[in-house]
Amino acid sequence: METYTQYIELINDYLNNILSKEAQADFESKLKSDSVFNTIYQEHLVFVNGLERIEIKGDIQNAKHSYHTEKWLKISGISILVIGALVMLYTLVFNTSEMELTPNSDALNTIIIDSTSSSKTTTLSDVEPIVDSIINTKTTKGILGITTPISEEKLIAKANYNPFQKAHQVLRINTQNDTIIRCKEGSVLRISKGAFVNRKTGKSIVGNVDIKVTEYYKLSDILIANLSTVSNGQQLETGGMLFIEATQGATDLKLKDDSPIDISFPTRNKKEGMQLFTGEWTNKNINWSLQNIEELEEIDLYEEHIDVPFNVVEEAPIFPGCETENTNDARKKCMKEAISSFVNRKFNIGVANNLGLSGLQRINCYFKIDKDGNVVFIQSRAPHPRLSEEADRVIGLLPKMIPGKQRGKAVNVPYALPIRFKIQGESSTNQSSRRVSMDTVSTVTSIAFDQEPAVSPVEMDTTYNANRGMVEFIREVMHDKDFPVDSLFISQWEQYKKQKLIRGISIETKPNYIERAIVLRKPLLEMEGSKFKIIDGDSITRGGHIIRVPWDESKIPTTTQVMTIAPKQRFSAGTDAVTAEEFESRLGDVADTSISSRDAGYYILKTSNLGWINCDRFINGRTTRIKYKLKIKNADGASISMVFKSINAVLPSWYTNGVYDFQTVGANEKVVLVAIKRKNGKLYYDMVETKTKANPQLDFKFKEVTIEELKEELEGLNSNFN
Amino acid sequence: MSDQDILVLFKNGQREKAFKKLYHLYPRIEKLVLSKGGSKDDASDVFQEALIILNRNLETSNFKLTASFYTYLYSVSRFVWSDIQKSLTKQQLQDLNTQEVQVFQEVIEEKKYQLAEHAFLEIGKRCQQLLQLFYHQAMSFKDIANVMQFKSSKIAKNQKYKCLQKAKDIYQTKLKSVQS
Repeated sequence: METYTQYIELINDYLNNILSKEAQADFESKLKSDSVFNTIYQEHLVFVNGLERIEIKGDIQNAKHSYHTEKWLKISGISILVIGALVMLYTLVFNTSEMELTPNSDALNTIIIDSTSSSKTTTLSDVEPIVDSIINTKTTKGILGITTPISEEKLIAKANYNPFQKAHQVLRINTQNDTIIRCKEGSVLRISKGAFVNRKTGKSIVGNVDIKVTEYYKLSDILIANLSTVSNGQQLETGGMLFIEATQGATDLKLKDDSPIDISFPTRNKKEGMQLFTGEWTNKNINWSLQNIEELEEIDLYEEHIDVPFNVVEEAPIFPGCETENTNDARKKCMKEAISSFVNRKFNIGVANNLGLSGLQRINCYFKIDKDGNVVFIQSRAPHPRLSEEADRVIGLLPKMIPGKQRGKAVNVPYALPIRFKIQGESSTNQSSRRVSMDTVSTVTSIAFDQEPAVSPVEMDTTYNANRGMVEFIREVMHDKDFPVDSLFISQWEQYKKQKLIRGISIETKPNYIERAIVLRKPLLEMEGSKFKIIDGDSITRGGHIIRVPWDESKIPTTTQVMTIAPKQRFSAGTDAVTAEEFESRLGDVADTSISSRDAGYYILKTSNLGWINCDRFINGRTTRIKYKLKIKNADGASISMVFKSINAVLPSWYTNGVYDFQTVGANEKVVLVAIKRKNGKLYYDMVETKTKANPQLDFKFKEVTIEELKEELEGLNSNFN
Repeated sequence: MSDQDILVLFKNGQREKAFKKLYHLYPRIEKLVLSKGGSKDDASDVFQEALIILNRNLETSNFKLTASFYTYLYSVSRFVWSDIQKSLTKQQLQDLNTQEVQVFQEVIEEKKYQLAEHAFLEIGKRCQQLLQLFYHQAMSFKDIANVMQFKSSKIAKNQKYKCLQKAKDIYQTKLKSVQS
C-alpha cells in the first residue's frame, strides 16, 4: 500500500513534468525493468485519460449546446427578417388606400355616398338580362354625297359641316347590354353596358343610345374631312380613323372614364406598333394623342356571338303553339304565320291616319330572337316615324320563344318582317313598279336605322336606293329587259326551282374563265303557254335542256327602289348652318362670299370627347428631318395638305402670313400637295407631286372645279394610298 | 472558419469554441450514421466520441492533421460506429491501410478510457470531484481540503488514494467482464 501510494505520487510527478532529469531517467528505466511498476503506470494513464474524457465531454456538451442555440437564433433571426420585409411590403402596397381614408370625416362621407350611388346603378343594370348582339350594318351604297347622313346635332348653333361629309352610320344600342357593332368598312366596336354618361351632368345613362360612327379608311375620305395625322407635332402613319358620337335624344353623351370602347380596325391596314389615338380639334387641325390602350385587340367575334339567319338556321326558334309541328320547315312556317297574324291583330292602323300618307305602306321590321328566346334588337323602318314606333311596340309584344339552335348551340336568329297595308284615300301614283316581295322572311342586308322622332320640324330628305331582286334576276336570265314579271310568275319561278327545272351552275365559257349559268330543263319549254324560249347563244344539251349565260347586271335597269327618309344635313356656310341644297346654291353663287376656303375645303367637327379615334403609329427615324415651309403667291388662303405616298399619312399646314408651315417632316419623301381654295364663290383645286426638301419652290395652278370633279380627283388619290 | 483557424483555437486552449465550430460538421456525420442504420442519439454519441479522439490526438505533440477536420472526423466516426455495431469483418480489417489502422487503434484505445470513465462515474460524486480537482485543476491537497471541507490536507490526500483505489477496482472488474 505504502509503495503503491509512492508509485502513484511518482507517476503523477512524472506526468506533470516536475521531476529532475535524473529522476526522470530513473523513472523511465524503472518502467522498463519493473513490470509491476509498469502496469501501475499504464493503469494510471488509462485513469487519467478516462478522467480527462469527463472534462472533454463537458466541453463538448457546452459546445453542442451553444451551436444549437446559435443555429436557432439564426433561423429565427432570418424568419423575423422575412416577416419584417413582408410587413413592409404589405404596408407599402396598401399605403395608398390608407391615405385615402385618413382625410377628415367629411371627405370620407362623400366617398361612401359615391360608392353607394354607383353600386346602385350597377345592380340596376345587373337585373336586366345580359344580351350580346352583333349589329351587322350595311348602309345602302352608292349614294352620291350629301343626303343620307343623319344628324342629331342639327339644333346646335354654328355647328360646321362640310358638303363632302362622309355618310355615317347611326346605330341604336341599349346601354344595359354589352354590344358589339360591326361597321360596314370593317371596324368593330365593343361597348360594355352602362358605358355612357351624360356630358353635362355626368350621370349614367339608361336606355337606348344612338351611336354615330363614321369610318375614314380611304385617303379621299381623310382628305375631304380635313383629317390629319399628327400627334403633338409628330407625324403618324394611319391605319384608319373613326368618328364616334353618342347621343340620347338631344343629349350629348360621353364615355365613362373607366369603360372605354374596344375598337378593332380592319386588319388590312394594320401594321406593327399601331396604337390607338384620340383626336381633338385644335385651331383648325386635329391633334392626336395616344390612348391608354396599349395594343389593339383582335376580337374574334364570330366564335361567341353567332347570328344565324332564320332561313338558314338548323333548328328554328319555336313560337309558342308551334311545338307540335314535326319538321323544321313546318315549324318555320308555323312561326311565320303566327307572327304575321299576331302583328295583324295588334297593329293599330289608326296611327297611320292624319300622317299625310296614302296608298300602299310598307314597314320593314327587323329583330332578333336571342339565345334565351327573347325578342331583342328591334329595328323598324317606315315612311313615318309614327309607324315605326307602332311597329316597334307591336314586335315588343311578341311572346318569349324557344331559341333557335345551330349545331346544337343556342344562337341569335335575326328575323325580318315586312308589314304592308294600304291607306285608303288618294290613289298611289307609283304602285305599278313596286315589287311585292316574295320572300316574306329574309336576311336583311341593308338596314336603315330610324332616329328619334324629330323634336322640332326639320326638313326631311328622301333617298331612293336601287335594290336588285328577283325581277332583275329573272330578266337577266330571260335576256329581256322588259320581260313582264309579276308575283304570279315569281312564285312559278320559285316552284320551278324547287322542282329543279331551273338550276344555277358554273361553266367554263372561255379557258380559265368560270361563268355563272342557268340550266333550263326541257319540260319548261314544252309547257303550254311557256314563256321560255330558245334564244341566240343558248347551248342545248343532248337531253334538250338549255344552258344559258344570263346577261350581266348592266343590261337590266333596276326598277325596285328603297326609300329612306332622314332629316336634312346641315352644313356651315360662313356663320350660317344651312341645308345641303342651300349650301350648294350658295357655293354656286358667285356673289356669295360668306363661304370661305376653309368651309369649302375643310370641315370642322366640334364634337364630343368620344370624337375621333385613329389607328396610327409614330413614324420615327425614317430619314433626316427638315422644316418644310411653303410660300405660295396665289394661295389666297387656300387649305393645303400634304399626303405621303409611302405611308398612310396626311399632314395639315398652319397658314400664317402667306407661309404654309408643315413643321418637321422627313426629307426626300414623295408627297402630294393638295390645295383646295374657294374664292369669289368659285371652287379651285390643284395637286402637285413633289419630294420634300428644304426651301421648296412650288406653284399651284388652281383650276376651277365643281364639287363632283373635286370628289373625283380626290378619289383618284386613293390609288396612292392603301 | 477554416481548419487552420480551428487549430489555432485548440492551441490557444479555447477548446469549447473549437468544438462549437466543429459542430457545423455534425449534420453530415449524422447523415452517415443514419444511413448506416443508427438513430439520431447514436449519431450524437458517435460524433462526440470522434471529437474526444480528435482532441486527444491534438494534445499529443506528434500528431499532424493530414486531411481536413471533416475527413478525419468522418473516418473516425465510421470506425466508432462500426465498432459499436461490431460489423467489421476480419477481411475488412486486413484491407485497412496504415492510416486507417492507426485511426482504428485510436478508437480501440479510447474504449479503455471509456471504461475508466464509467468507473469514475460509479465512485460517487465526492470522489469524482476530488479526483478532478487534483488531476485536472492541479490543485494542491491543501486547497482541495479547503474547497471540499476536509479537516486537513492529509485527510484529503488519503481520501484521494482511497477514491483512486476504488475506481481502479471497478475498472478492473469491468475490464474483466468486457474481455471475458
